Amino acid sequence: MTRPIRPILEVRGAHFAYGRSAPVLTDVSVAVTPGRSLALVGESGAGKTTLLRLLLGLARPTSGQVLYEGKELAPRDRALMREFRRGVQTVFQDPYSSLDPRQRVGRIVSEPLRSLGLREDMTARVAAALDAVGLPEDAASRYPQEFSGGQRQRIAIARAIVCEPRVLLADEPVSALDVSTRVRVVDLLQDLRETRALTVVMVSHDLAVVAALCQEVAVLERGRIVERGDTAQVLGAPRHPYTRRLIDSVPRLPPPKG
Amino acid sequence: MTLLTVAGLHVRGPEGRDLVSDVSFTLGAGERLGLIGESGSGKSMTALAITGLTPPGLTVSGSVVFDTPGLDRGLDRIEVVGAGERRLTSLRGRLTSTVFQEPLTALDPLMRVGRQVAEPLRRRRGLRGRALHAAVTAALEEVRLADPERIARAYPHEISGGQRQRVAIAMALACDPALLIADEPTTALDVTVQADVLTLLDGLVEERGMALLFISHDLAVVSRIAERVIVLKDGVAVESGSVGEVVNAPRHPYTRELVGSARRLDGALDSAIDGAIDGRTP
Amino acid sequence: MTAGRRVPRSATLVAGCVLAGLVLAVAVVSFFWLPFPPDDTSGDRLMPPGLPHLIGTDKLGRDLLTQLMIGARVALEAGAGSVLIGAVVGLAAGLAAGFATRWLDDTVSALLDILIAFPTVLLAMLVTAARDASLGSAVIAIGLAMSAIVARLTRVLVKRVLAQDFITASRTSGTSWPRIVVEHVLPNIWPTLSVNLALQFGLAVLAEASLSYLGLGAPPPNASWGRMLQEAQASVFIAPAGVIAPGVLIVVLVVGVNLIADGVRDVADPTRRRTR
Repeated sequence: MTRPIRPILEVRGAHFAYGRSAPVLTDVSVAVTPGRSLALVGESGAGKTTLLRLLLGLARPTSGQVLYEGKELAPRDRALMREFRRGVQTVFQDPYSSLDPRQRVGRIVSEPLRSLGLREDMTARVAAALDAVGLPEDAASRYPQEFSGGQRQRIAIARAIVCEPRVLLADEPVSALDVSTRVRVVDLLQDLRETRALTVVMVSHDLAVVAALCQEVAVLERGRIVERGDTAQVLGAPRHPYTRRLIDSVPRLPPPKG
Repeated sequence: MTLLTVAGLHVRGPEGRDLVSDVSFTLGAGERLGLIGESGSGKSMTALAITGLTPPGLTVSGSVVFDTPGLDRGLDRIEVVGAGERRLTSLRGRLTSTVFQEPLTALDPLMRVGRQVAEPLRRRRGLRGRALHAAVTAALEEVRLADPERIARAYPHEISGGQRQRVAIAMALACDPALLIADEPTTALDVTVQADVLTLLDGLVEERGMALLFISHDLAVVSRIAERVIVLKDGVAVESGSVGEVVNAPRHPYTRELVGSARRLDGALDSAIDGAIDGRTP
Repeated sequence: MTAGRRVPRSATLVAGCVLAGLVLAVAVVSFFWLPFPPDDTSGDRLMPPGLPHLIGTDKLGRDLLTQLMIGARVALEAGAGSVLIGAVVGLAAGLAAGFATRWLDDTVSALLDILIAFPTVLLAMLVTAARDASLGSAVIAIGLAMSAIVARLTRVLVKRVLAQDFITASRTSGTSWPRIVVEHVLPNIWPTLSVNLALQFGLAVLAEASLSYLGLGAPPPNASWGRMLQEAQASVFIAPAGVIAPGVLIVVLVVGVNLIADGVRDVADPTRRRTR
């Protein structure tokens, strides 16, 4: 599929292996186009998280390329890396491990601003981010331990959007949450996607959440992309047997009567 | 026939706060009951009170009675609340067995899987030597583990999460309990593995005529395996009924929210799937 | 969740501060006032407690209280000096090992294990041989031995913090490694580390006393509780005060410091406090 719009973030022909062990990723290519949120779907051990680490610039592919705005990521190119860090932010699965317990929420949320040297109106920007995720103003002066799992995930999202990134990479952002909290956080992400022109790249095995948030899906199995396309196409008419099994496995409520 | 009668169960925390308040229900032999609630709703605490395993410092009151004629020296009724630890230990495994959420922490990391499964078989059925070995293999086969010999020789970290949960189920079944308690047994697993484990549990409970208490925060998962459900919120049972009733006509606002959330996620998936079938993009 | 209590109270902390504070007060006073000059041997030998020698005299006729007061100074100097060396060297090595991967980590760990297995007394003899028999040599030896223990603890704590998602979040925010250390790693390892350093202080006081007892510490006329014990040992049945007094003071200081360590652990860690 060729699109006229240049991808913001792209992995091209990436292989990845730890040392001499079996490859975690084999010839993986993924492109993130602006406004088209993408889900990376697969089981644990399929290589989703490793792929996410490549996209985050935390690991480098054994061979292949990772490109931001068409330029290959290079740790030495400070200007590019700074631009990349500002443009691509992340949210983690476990809201308990992703917030430093010894920092106040205000400091946690402002970290990207401080690190990227965006010190103007920092307090106002933090307040705006907290407001955008639906947290009260006084949250900034409290510690993460004082919040529930869902609220902590909101704090993590506030940190990720405070520097107004273009891409949000989320690793199972709602799977550690209770169902009703999960729906609220999905709503929030949906809302942010629209109001802030964010493109979400989400690792998940929850197809319902994927369907709610992402226009495109890439299915990974054992380090390879086995199927890719528009969400409706992949979920509605799966071609690969693994995708089909994944769809059939989603637990559903019994259909409503009447 | 009623197997378990829980009446006016209270579990009080050290600061006098009720973790479970006034929960009552009955469970027939071979029946499957789902306990639904979010973290902190008291669902796991209820299960612990039923097994008599509440952590020290908590006060349990009310009554938890098992009707199991012939199981304990002619005694037909066994009251768990207030029963002595020694007596409970002798009954545990035969009355109830529990499968937990995280199989990695439920298994001893330094002991081969086979020996862990053998332990309850040896204790309860008095098996030794070759008979014990055969029973271990049979137990692992029963939970549909391919290549049980290899699994028996492996350490827990050497097998996958789904395989570990199957081993944990095999261990729980080894004593042939009257009631199997499954506390979020599939939450830590991948969806496809979750589906397989649910099918497995479904079949095993059916075959053995065991009663099942299935604890989860996921209404969709519970509705897949249970006949009746109880919805817990802040330690209080706010609603109970058959799965069909609760899912189709929730009465309590909290249940409505739960059902609504689950339906919204289902709906998102359905419209994506239907969208492709109708040839439109959402 | 009870975030409200701003000033947590700890009985152990108070008790520890009282005991250790007593010794500290004595040491401070010793700089301004001593009952007798330290080298004044004018008193009768091995006098029992009384006037004018409140605790008595030693076998050379020196005032025991004067010696004890100077000894308090020496003990605290030894503890503080050792902890300073142990903390600086240990933290640096521990951070390096904590951040290192594979072979470098293995090498540092092996070195630390060797250093920990090395007897402090032997290390002290080597340092003394290289320099001289002095408080400084003893402190260097104790500090080096301590740094290995501190480094090993630091390494484990650092690895544990680095495995947390908030470190990854910090990296993806573009935070540099030195800043991650200052902002996230040090604050998160500090509660555990500070407790350990407080315990090490007590151990250092004991170690200095032992080394002085063996003649590897500060030479006369600097009084050290360890050497006082050694000198009074022969006359323990004639003049027990010479043994009891420094012994009691060592116990008071070490127990005091250990209680402070326990108290600090209860108070310093907000996460621990709330999840209790």
